Amino acid sequence: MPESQFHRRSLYILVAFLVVAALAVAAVKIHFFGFSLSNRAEFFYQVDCAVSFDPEPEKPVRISIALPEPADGWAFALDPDSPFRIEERGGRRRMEQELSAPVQRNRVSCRFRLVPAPARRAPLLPPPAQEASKPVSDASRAAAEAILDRVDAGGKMTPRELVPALLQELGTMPRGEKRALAPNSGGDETVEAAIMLLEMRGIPARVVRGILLDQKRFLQQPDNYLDVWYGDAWHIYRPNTGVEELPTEFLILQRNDRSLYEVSGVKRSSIGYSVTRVPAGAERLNQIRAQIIDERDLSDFSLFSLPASEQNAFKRLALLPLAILLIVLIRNIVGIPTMGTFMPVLIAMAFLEMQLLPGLVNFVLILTVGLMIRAWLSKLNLLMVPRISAVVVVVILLMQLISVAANFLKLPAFVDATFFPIIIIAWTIERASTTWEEDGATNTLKQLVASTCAAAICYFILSSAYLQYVLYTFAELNLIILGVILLLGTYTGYRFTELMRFQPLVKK
Amino acid sequence: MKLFGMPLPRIVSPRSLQRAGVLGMNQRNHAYIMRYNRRSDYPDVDDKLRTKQLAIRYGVATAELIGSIEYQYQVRHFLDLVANAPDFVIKPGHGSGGRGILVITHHDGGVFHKPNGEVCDYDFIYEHISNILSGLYSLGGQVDYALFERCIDFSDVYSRFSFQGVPDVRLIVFKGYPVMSMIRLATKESDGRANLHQGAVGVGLSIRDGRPRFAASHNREITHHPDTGAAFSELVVPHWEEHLDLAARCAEMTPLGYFGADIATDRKRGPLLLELNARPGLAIQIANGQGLLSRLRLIESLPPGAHPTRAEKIAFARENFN
Repeated sequence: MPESQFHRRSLYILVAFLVVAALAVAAVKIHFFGFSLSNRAEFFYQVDCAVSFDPEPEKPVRISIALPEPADGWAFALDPDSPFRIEERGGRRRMEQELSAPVQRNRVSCRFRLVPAPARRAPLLPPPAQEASKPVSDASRAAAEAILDRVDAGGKMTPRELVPALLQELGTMPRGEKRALAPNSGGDETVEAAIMLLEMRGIPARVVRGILLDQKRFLQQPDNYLDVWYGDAWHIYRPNTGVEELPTEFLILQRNDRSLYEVSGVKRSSIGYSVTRVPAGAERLNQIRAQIIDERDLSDFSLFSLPASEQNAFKRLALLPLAILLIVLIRNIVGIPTMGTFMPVLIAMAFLEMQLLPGLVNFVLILTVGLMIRAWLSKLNLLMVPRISAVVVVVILLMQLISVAANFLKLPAFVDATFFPIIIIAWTIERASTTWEEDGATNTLKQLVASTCAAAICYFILSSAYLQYVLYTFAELNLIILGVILLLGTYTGYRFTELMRFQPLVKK
Repeated sequence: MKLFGMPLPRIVSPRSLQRAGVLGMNQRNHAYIMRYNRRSDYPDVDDKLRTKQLAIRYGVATAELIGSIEYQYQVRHFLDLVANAPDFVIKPGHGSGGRGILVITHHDGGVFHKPNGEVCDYDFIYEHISNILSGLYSLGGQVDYALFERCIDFSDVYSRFSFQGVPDVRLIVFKGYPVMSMIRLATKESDGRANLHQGAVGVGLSIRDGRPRFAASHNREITHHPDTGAAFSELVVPHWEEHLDLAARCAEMTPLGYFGADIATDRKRGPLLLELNARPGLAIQIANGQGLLSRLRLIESLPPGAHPTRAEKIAFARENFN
């Protein structure tokens, strides 16, 4: 049949597409946005950056803070409640806030978060072509030449040797002398002097400022480090020791000579950083990651962008496709008939709300009493729709009765009987009752036991916190489940139960 | 299937089932029912009145139609319908598997006698018809109508082989060829009904001559009727050629390519079509002790138009399907 072959091939192509698409989206989320396949609890850093100032009367205050540099293993996200907004100015993204006049405060705080993200080395660009050096007075030039001669007479040292030697030399000098070398900058004297000296040797250098991700330090001032370009790479030096090193857990706030923060309309200002390590579950972190995706103008495509109540609803639904796949397997591959196709899944979802054992006891109780009442109803010769409606009402009353009784008997696990899907239970009772009349008790009980077992199996799948985490975080994986279900739709092999059923047909 | 006190059922490999030519449920649905039966043709078999009209048009003998009741308000006038019929059967128009069929062997307009000797009254029958109309027995529970037919006067040729109940011959017809057959015999366990999963006995019949070739109950071979003790090997189906012809005619009245035809034998009128089934079950393989797949494959391997007439198809089937 060429036509059926065509259908089959287009199905295979569709399934392959679904699988590839799902894996691709999941891979992007894992690799580029740091969504984790593991649901173990982690933490993120919460950084509070406090800017203090003396506002000038009748003037608006405008605060602009440099965004932290892209860091290895950390992704930046502004706190959603922060009054600061990310603005782009001249190709640089900064956190900004404006306070309209008159300004009564003398301190604002900008809170942002750092989430563990895949290690991605930020591309470090080589320094721009040597700009015309800043005008330096002859006196400073002479002093600088003297220092350079003292450290490296004849200029034979490689930059690798020169930088530590220079820093050590500067370390022994009094502040005033260093200040004299670079009088125009307001930063760390040693670093500024070193930059000036290195520039005279034609070695590009710049300041790097950052903070330690250390909770113990409250309102820490940014540390200054020296960044030197040689051998086609940047090298960071600790200015007071002259050692090439960068502390671990160090967040670079500023590189290059752009400002770390700017405040306009004030007399004085200062900045301080406080770091808190916040323990968080994988889901909380994913939420922040989703926010990061959003901020990158990729328009958040994940479930994390939904309001919290919707998220909770979808969390509960996250595993439903897997449970439905299980039903397909039970019915079409194993060959066990269940009473009502998806009844076991819905019952399992009810079990989820009230634990397996109380759920099972409740279910069997409702079913037994319901069947007894249904048997009595059948004697009244009612039409079908009123009869099923009567069963629905009976089921509701039973649930209320069980809840009240459980409350009275102090059995809190049984109070939640309301979570059973009422209509589904009513139909199950109706179907069981007609099957009982048509096919006898044995067949009915067999089907009911099979359905309840299927519900219990579904429960174990649905109650897996890890599976829920994975299928909620990577909702695209449901496309793979969809593909498997589509493939199972063309499975024409024997069902497992048929291997027993048709066993007599195999000639010995 | 008993679990306790019994050895667990033996499991065979899929490969050995394949070798035995056994048709599985998934394959039946996918490769035969879905491929050869168009959804739009299902009413030909699911709607009993339509089947009946088609049967009359194509010269397929069926039980005599008395009438039908479609609306609830008509139900209390059902006596008018059966006043002139000494016996009658009420069937749901869209029923399946024999569900909701009520047989009245004789009545006087007030007391109605069922075949098992029980009697019932006007209210009981009123209720039964109401249930049919409300869709209790119909596929998918949709609103239904009730069909009234004359009883088939079952010839007593099978009486030794059946505990009460109505033995009927099931023929699987594929692309116009009768491919496999069995007769279903009621037992005490099946409560006089001819449904195999309720414990009735299925006796496989040779397409060639209608002679029994195997008998099974509950998936196991059986040689004698559990209640009457009659040996199935002595079973003879009369009018076998007419059975085959009737089944092959059914293939002409509906475009369905794969269906089951249920045929009962009336004492005076001979074989009559009871109903058609677009999803015939697979137990017929167990009753025959033989797989269906190899037979279906043989028919599928024939070139188109290999046997243009009904007679040729039957002749081919009788030659190949012993």
